[in-house]
Formats: sequence, structure tokens, C-alpha cells
Amino acid sequence: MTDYPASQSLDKSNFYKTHATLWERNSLRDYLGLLVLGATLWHPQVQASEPLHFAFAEILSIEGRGYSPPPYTINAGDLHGEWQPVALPHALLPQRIDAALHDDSSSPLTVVTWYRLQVPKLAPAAEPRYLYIPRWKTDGQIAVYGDSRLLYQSHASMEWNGWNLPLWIALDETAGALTPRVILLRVERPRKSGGGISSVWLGEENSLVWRYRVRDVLQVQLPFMSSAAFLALGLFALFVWLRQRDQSLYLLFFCVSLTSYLRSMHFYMGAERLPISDDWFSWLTVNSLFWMIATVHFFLNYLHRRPPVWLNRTVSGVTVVISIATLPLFEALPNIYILSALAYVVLLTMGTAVATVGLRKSLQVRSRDGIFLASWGLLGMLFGLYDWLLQNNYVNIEGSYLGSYSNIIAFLIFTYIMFRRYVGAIEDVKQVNASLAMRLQAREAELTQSHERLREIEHRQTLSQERQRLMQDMHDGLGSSLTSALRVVEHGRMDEGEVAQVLKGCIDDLKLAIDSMEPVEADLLLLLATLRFRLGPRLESTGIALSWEVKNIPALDWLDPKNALHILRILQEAFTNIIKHTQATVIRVATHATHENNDFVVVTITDNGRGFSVEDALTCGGKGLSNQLRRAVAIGAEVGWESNGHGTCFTLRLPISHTKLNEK
Amino acid sequence: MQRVSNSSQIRVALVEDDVHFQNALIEAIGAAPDMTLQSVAGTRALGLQALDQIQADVLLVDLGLPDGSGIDVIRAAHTKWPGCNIMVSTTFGDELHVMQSLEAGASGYLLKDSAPERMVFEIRSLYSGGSPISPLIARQILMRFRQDDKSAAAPLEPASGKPALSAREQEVLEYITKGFTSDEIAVMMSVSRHTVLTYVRRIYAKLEVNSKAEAIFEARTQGLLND
Repeated sequence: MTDYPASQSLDKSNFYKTHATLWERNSLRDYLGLLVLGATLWHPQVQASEPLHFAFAEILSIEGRGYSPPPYTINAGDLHGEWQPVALPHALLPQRIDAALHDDSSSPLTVVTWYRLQVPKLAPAAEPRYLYIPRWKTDGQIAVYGDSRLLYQSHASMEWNGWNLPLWIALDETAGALTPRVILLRVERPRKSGGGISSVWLGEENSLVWRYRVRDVLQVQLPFMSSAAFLALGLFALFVWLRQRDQSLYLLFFCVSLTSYLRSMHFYMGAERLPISDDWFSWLTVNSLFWMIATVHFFLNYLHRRPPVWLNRTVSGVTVVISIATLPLFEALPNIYILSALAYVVLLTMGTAVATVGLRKSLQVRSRDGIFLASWGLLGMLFGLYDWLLQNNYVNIEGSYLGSYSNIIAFLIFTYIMFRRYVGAIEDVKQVNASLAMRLQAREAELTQSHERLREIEHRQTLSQERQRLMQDMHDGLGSSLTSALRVVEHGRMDEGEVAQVLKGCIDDLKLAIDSMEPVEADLLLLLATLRFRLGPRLESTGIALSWEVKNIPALDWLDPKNALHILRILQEAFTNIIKHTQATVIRVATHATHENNDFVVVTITDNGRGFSVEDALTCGGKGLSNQLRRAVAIGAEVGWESNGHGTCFTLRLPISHTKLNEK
Repeated sequence: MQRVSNSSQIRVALVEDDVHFQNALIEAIGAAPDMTLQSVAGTRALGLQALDQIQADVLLVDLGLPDGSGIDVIRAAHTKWPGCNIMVSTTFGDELHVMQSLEAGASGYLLKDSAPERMVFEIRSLYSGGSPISPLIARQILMRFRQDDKSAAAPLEPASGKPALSAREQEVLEYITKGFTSDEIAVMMSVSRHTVLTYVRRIYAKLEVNSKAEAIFEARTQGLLND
């Protein structure tokens, strides 16, 4: 084990020099790691629990053509060339390719770079030891050897080989195996692209594995899980949109989540061979960033509602052109993976424009969501810039891509925005419902009030009508009878018996007026019965026999108190006429319904008196007949008289339905 | 019936503040050989006081008394003089006055403008178990009992204590609403006129019981009475 002069030759001053260089560029973690390495160098027999951190290596590059599989065993001594000491992490920059050299895709110009790590002699440990490489990068293949034996090789494709996945390689896998003293890393890549490795760790599991785990979670699992969660929420938004097509924000949210998911595949896929070709995978994941920025642009438009037409066109145009131009259908054009560095520059420019314009518009309309999102977009562009530098090996390659974290934060912002919209919509609905209920209540109250007012008016109208009716009746009947009686009594031309007759007539008038106030419920017979009940004693006293021959008749719906009193008065008049003028001995009262012409109820009052001339009575007689006619007209009824020497037949025809009454 | 033995005279008690009607009635009763006037009271208070005397056969009460309603006198008489025929005197025989008197326990009414012979006739008729009725009152009673029928599904409901009208009673009332006199109804139903009038009396009694049951029911639902 003496053929590793390089490790021996690292003297103290060299170490410190390198240490100082690293100190300027690296994080505290690396610095601490370096101290550990320093300790291992000064004390070769270190405690087994302390992991070794390699901040130095020696490299040897061998140029070739085409990719070649790594040998199963290799001895550092077999490699010819001069080993150069380098500090880790170490970036391999793309080489300028001599124009004379023809570079075709079947056998590209490649270079194999060997890293050699000298491991101090370690005491046998109870636990197996592991090699931990936080990051490595090549557009080809990586292979790891321990004491000349192949321990690990990346076995996916050349471009998508899992370069974002930290390596965790077991060293001591056979019984009694010693920890290797030399670690060789073989990095094969095209000459025109860069590559590199981070610093390397070696140690027992319990002291080292947390570093691997933390890195794996942050660099691989977190982007994977968050993008999946984002997509799940996006699907929810999609379903919302499918039901509410006018809410295009939900569709945009889904699109953002989808593009972000596609993009995030970059960060965790590649350990195994991809199910689709490298070209398509590259096309999808690189273009997804363009799509994402375009979607975010329209999302911002939605938030500030002042879409800039020129930017809409530019963003759409650039996105479509790049998406089409980079389709892996055209053999002539280099694929997007090769062009990605250039594409990302275009992307950064576009993203910055979108974020800046979005921020300005959002500030104008004071859209909090818009400001928030656009600001993060600008910050995200800085992240993107850093990622671009990392991709092109301009910054320490041991760092992680920040794009995935920028996506996570963006995811939270988007979710927050959608959450606010969603909750806002629910609140709106609640408020609308509440105000609706209130308005309904107000309307109900209004309605009740107006209903009450209407009823009051109706009531007042009824009262007033009733008053008018009674006034009229008193005036025409009772009043005039009493005044004329008074005149006669004043002149002494009336004996007591006559006065009593007049007064009895007045009382009968009053009784009928009172009876007319009782509801008769459309029952004409009840009305006739009442009349008989009131006039019966008077007829009896005159000795006239009454023959009551009423038959059941249809109800008269229009029989209100006013109409009832008119009918009572008409019939009362008929009786009075018979008693006063005809000297009849029998009165016959009959009812029947008739359906000739129209539907009528007919009341006939026939007497066996001496009769009278109807014409004379109407023209120069008293007010009796004309009163009957007037009242009959008022209720839409007809009255008629047939009279001869053997008696008179008085007829009252009443329409059955009210509409006919109205027509008259 | 504990009728005073000294004669078959109908003893009439009068509660009436109208002097003219008082006189008319005193005259009419005086002219009637089978009637004597037991007492005359002009106020509600005196009318109630008169109930402490020996029970009259017919009590004639005016509703509008100067110191209160004659209804109170009717109620008191209905309990104190259980065998007495109570009659309300009214100007118009209008439904409002008559119905509340019937519900208080009266079994007839007398129109104040009736001729003297008519008054005596009515008192006699009431005494012998008949009751007068007008078509409007008949209609009102029919409706009252019909409502009860509707409110309770059972044809007879002894639980509520409300009596129902018999078919004959209902028939009588229906004839009356059509204007037929008790004589005519008697012919149509093949009974005597007196029977028709006793039907009416029974109907009035049911109305009174009915209204009392209703009052108890009301009180019970309002929690004024328990059980």
C-alpha cells in the first residue's frame, strides 16, 4: 500500500493554502468537514466513528471517442498520465472543441476523468462503512471503484442518469473485508459539456447517514412530495372548474400545478431508465418551465385584471415557438438538453418580464395576491439564475438546485390565493344568504303590513257601504213613513188605530233591516222565511191565509246584506200592496228555478184579490211599484205583474250567478 | 214539578225596566184568567233578589237593565229556579240577543211589540213546554252543531259532554229555515204542533249544555280549571 505518493506528499503548508481557498467559497459545513479531514490527516489512526471528509483528490483525464463501459477492475497504476491534485468539490468545465475534430452523435468526442482518493488506514469496524457523494454531475456515466474493484455505476441513460440523487454506496460488503485504501471515481462525459463531483464522505453509518438522509429529503423527496401534493390540489381545482366554467382561475391553478409537477421530475427521476426517451423527457421537463411561466402570467392577469396585450402575445409566442422548435422530431436540430443552457437564458428573461409587469400592475390595482405572487416570481428568477449558474458549473457544484424550493413556496402562495378565493366565495354565499333572508323578512313584513292596511281599508269600505245602505233604507222607508205619519197626526186626520198601523209598519221595516244584517249565506229561502216570520203576525191579524209553497232552489252567491235587504223590501212591498189594496183572502208564495234563456230563481206571490191595472199603477200610482222596479234594477233582477179581476201574480226573477248580475 | 197547589195558575215573574212594557204585560196578564203576576223587578239587583222568593213558572227578563245585563239574572234563575221557564223580552228578536239568552238558559223569547193576546199566548206556550224559534236562530243553531260535528270525528262524543242534534230535531230546524210554521211542520212530520215546539225546547236545552261544555273546555284549555 505504498503506491500513493500523492497522499504522502500533501504537506502542511499545501493543506492550509487549500484550506484558505475553500474557506473563501464554502459553507460552514464544509469548513467543519475540512477540520475533520485535517484531523484525520494528522492522526491517521482516527476513531472509527468519525467520518472522513475528502476535500482533495487527484484527477487524470483521458480523451476519447464514444462512450465506453467502465472496466470491472482497474488499478490506478494502470492509468497513464499525470495525476493533478484538485480541491473538492471540483467542476469540470466544457472543453472548446477544435473545429478540425468531427463530432458526430454516433461517436461523440468524450473524455473520461478519473478522481483518486487516498483513504488512510482505518481500523476494522464492527459496522460496514459507506461512501457518500452528495452531488455529482456528468452527461455521461459515473463509476466508483474501491481498491480497483467496481462498486457502483450509474446505469440509466447518459443524460438522465440521476445526477440530482446523492450517492450512498456500501463499501464493506463481504466478510472480513477491509476498507479500501484507494477510491477511484470514473466520470465519463462529452467533451463539450461540463461535469464534476462534490466533496466525498466516508464513514460508518451511524455517524454519516444523517447527512445523506437530510440531503436526500431536501434534494429529492421534498420536491417529489410537494409537486405531487400540488398536483392533487390542482386536480381538485380542475374539478371545481369543470363544474364552474366561468371560474378560469381554477383551471389556471390546475395548469400551474401540472407544469410544476412536470418540471419537478427533473429533481427526482433518473436513477432508473426512463419510460420515455431522453429526448422527450428533456423536451417535457425543460418546456414545462416555459408553460409554467406562461400560466403564471395569465394567472397574474387574472389577479390584477389588467392584461398587457403585448406581453400576452410575447409570452404565448415565445412559449409556442420554443415548444415546437425543440420537439425531438427534427433530427437536424440539436435536442433541448443540449440547448437547455440557452433556453434557460430565454426563460429567465421572459420570467423576469412576466414577474416585473405583473408586480407593477398588481401594485397599480393594489391586488395583494398579485403583489405577493409577482414578488415571489422575481425572487424565483434569482433562484433560477442560481440554478443556471449551478447547471453550468459557475458556482460550487455541491449546492442544491433551488428551483424545487422556489416551486414549493410558489405552491404555498398559489394555495393560499386559492384558499382565500374559496373561503371568500363561501363567505360571500353566506352573506348573500343572510341578506337574502333579511330582505325576505323585510318583504314579508312589508307584505303583512300592506295586507293589514288593505284589510283595514276594506273594512272601512264595508262599514261605510253598510252605513250608506242603512242610511238610504232609513231615509226611504222608516224616515219617510214616520215624517208623513207625523204630518197627518199634526193635522189631526189620523185616529189611534191608523197611527198604530203606521208605527207597526215602521217596526216591521226596522226588523227587516236588522234581519238583513245577519248573514243568510246565499240562502234565498232563509230570506223568505225571515220575511214570513216578520210579516206573518200582521197577515194573520188581517185574516189573510198564507200558502207557503217554496221549493229548494240553487244558492245565490251574490246575496250580500245589501242585496238581501233589496229583496226583502221588494217582497215586503208586494205583501203591503196586497194587504192594502186587493182585499185578497189567500196569498200563495212559491219559488222555483228556471233554465230558460238564463238560469234564474223565480219567486211568485199570487193573491186572489180584485187585481189592478199595472199600467195605471206604474204611471200614476204611488211609489210602491216604482220602488220595486228601482230595487230590482239595482240587484240585476226583474219584477213583473199579471193582474186581472181574479187576482194578481207578482214575479221576481233573480239571476243565479253573479256574472249575469254584472252584465246587466 | 212542585207547582203551587192553590190553583192551576201560571205564575209569572217579570224583570223589566221599561214602564210601558211593564204596564202592557201587567194588563195582558191581568186579563188572562190562567195567569198571575208574582213579582215585578225594574233592575238587575232587584231581579236577582226576586229569585229568593218562591219559584215562578215563567220568568220574563229584559237584557238591557239599568244596572247590568239581564243575562246574569237568566243564569242565576237557571240554577235557583230549575223548573222555571225563562223567557227573554226583546224588541227585535235578533240573533245576537236571543242566542246568548238561550245559551244562558232561557228557553224562549217574547217580542215587545207583540199584541197582548200574542204575549199571553207565548207565555202559555212556553209554560206548556213549547219554544218559539225564528228562521235565523234555527239557521244559527244548525251551524253551531254542524261545526261541532266537523271538529269531532265521532258522531256522538260523550267524553266532551256535548250533546248532538237528533235527526228529527235537525229536520225541524231545516223546515224552520225554509219558512214553514210549526203547524205546517207538524203536518209534514206527522206529529202534533206541540211536539214540534217541544223539539225546539229540547234543541235549546242542548244548546245551553253545549255552550256550557264549550265554556268548560275553553277554561280547561286555558288552564283555568284542572280536570
